[in-house]
Amino acid sequence: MPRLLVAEDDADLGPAMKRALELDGYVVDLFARGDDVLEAASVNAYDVILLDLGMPRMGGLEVLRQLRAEGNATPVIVVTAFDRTRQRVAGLDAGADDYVVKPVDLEELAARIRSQLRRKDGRSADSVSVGEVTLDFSGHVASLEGEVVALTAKEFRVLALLMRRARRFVSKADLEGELYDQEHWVESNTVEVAISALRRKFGRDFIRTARGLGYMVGGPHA
Amino acid sequence: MKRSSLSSRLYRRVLILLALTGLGMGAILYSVTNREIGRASDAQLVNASRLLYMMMQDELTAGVLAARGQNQDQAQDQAREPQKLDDDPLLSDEERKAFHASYDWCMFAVFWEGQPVAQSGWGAPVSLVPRQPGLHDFIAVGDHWRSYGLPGRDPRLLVVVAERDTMREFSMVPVLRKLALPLLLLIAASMLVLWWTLRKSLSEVERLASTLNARSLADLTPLARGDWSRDLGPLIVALNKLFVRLDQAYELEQAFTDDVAHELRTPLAAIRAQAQLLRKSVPAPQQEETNRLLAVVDRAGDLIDGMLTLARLNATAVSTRSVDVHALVADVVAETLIHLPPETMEFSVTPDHIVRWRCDPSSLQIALSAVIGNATVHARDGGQVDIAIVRSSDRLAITVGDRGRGVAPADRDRLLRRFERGTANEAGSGLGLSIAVKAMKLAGGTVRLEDRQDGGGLLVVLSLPAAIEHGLRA
Repeated sequence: MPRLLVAEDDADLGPAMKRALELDGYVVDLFARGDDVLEAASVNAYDVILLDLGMPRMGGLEVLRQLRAEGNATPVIVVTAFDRTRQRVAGLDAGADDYVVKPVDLEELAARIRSQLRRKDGRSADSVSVGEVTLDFSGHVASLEGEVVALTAKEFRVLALLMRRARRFVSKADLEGELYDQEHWVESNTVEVAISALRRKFGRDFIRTARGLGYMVGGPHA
Repeated sequence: MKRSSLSSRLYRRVLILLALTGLGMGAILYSVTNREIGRASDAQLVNASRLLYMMMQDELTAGVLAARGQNQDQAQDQAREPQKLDDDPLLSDEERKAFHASYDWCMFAVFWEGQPVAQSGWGAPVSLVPRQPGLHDFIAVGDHWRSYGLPGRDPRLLVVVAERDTMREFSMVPVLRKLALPLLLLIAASMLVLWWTLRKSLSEVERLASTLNARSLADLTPLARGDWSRDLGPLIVALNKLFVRLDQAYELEQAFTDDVAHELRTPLAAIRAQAQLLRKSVPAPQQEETNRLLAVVDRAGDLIDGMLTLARLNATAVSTRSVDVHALVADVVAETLIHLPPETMEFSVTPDHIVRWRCDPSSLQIALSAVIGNATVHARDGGQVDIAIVRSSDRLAITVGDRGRGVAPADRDRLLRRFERGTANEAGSGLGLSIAVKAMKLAGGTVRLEDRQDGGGLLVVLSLPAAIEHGLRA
């Protein structure tokens, strides 16, 4: 059973998060002070740490830096009220794996935790996950909820580019350029055919589109 | 009012100063030259009178005049007729010729006891010639004259030499005529050198302006004094002080809004988590109530987000640069789409390629997010958002059209203000469009609400003029 550490100093929010996550089947330890978090993380092996940045005694960023400095590689999701781009960058640079702004939807938070657990299990520098879909570049394998999905070479290349640029639009021209290396000549509907096949295999909503912008993968908890 | 550039203003002023200095110098030179010529001419008059006096020495030594004076007295007593001067015994024809060979522009008259005894035979009538020693001015035959009277060893004798003032005046016209071409060339060369020097001297200021322009919004690091000339030292010090003050104000504002964000969002997050837990535990009939509670919490969350965005816009400085507006629109649409349930709304953007424009990307992104977010809240039923980027030579317009119910013309101005909603029951914080208005104002643009021309729906037009470069040039 995955074990989580929740670092949250708010007397109402911390217990509510703990209860909600326990209902989802996790073992949860709740701490309200930064130094306690560091101590607990050095003693116990957690699967994911949920870290508030605005804690007393020792701020979340300092906790995160020390964790990483000590060689602790546990996935960390920052859950904070600070939403400035600079603060997000600072959090990710300090070693956070994900960054969520309060008030967070508990279901979204659960999905993000699952995503981190999947990454942790199959963690490889050469793989990328978006939602329930994982792409392993070294093994040339795509999987949906852990089940391997067979892809053609073209489909793999299109999906790989979309997943590398998750949450951003990729133009049709860029996708054609990705396929061009492979075939010196790309038929006008090659990209549409590949997208259509990928939607069949991963779900219609997995790839979103907008006329004039291109295609995109990723949801709120990509 | 359009202000001319600093360099041209400085150039014009220096040119005017140079022209005034040149004219002043010319006037002084003219006056000094005239005075010197006058002195030299006076000296020549003195010399001429001395020469004349020397020429008469033999006759004077022989007592010609004394004898003649007696004869004159007798003759006057006898006939009271004026003495003819033609047979002047004082100067022979040769002496007269010799005098005129040296001073052909001078007339003369010789007086014995105040009576004329010899004269040059031309020039001013002898009756008008001053009969006193020294230099004198007089008017005769329509001309101004200058005379010098030299008394003889015998005080009854006075030798007067005179010349017209026109002979002494110095005329600038021939001098200027000769100097015209070299002077013009000199003036043109000076103007060029002056312009070049000015531009070179001010290039440092231009470099400072472009360095500051190239800085990002949050870059308030002090300028290194060593990189700039000493003339700019006080300006660099003042700028650095301003940066420190701005940085402190920026930090204070950030700290305040961060505190507000933390203090408001954390309890809201607790309420939301409790409501979600409650929804899991209550029977189905009561779940609708917890859903309503969650919707209220989300609306409060949106309101806090909007208020924080507005507060941060108050302390935002714009940083203009060349922006790919198409990519910026793509990012905003992607962020919106990510948070929308699948199949909720379709988005289209025209054109489908890069459109560049000089503007502040941060404020444009905030405005665009607010407008597109507004469309997803109020026109979700329409299911369609069409965005167009239209670039002309002096203006960029981004239009966001939805397929909702639109807005009556009478309500449009009201809806651009804070906390105004279409109807009292509508969702949303009522801040979206006012955020767009404020952000666009910051970027130098405007927000306008219109009807869609291609069927029903609201068309929001974000309009940005061409950015003005705040450099040295106008």
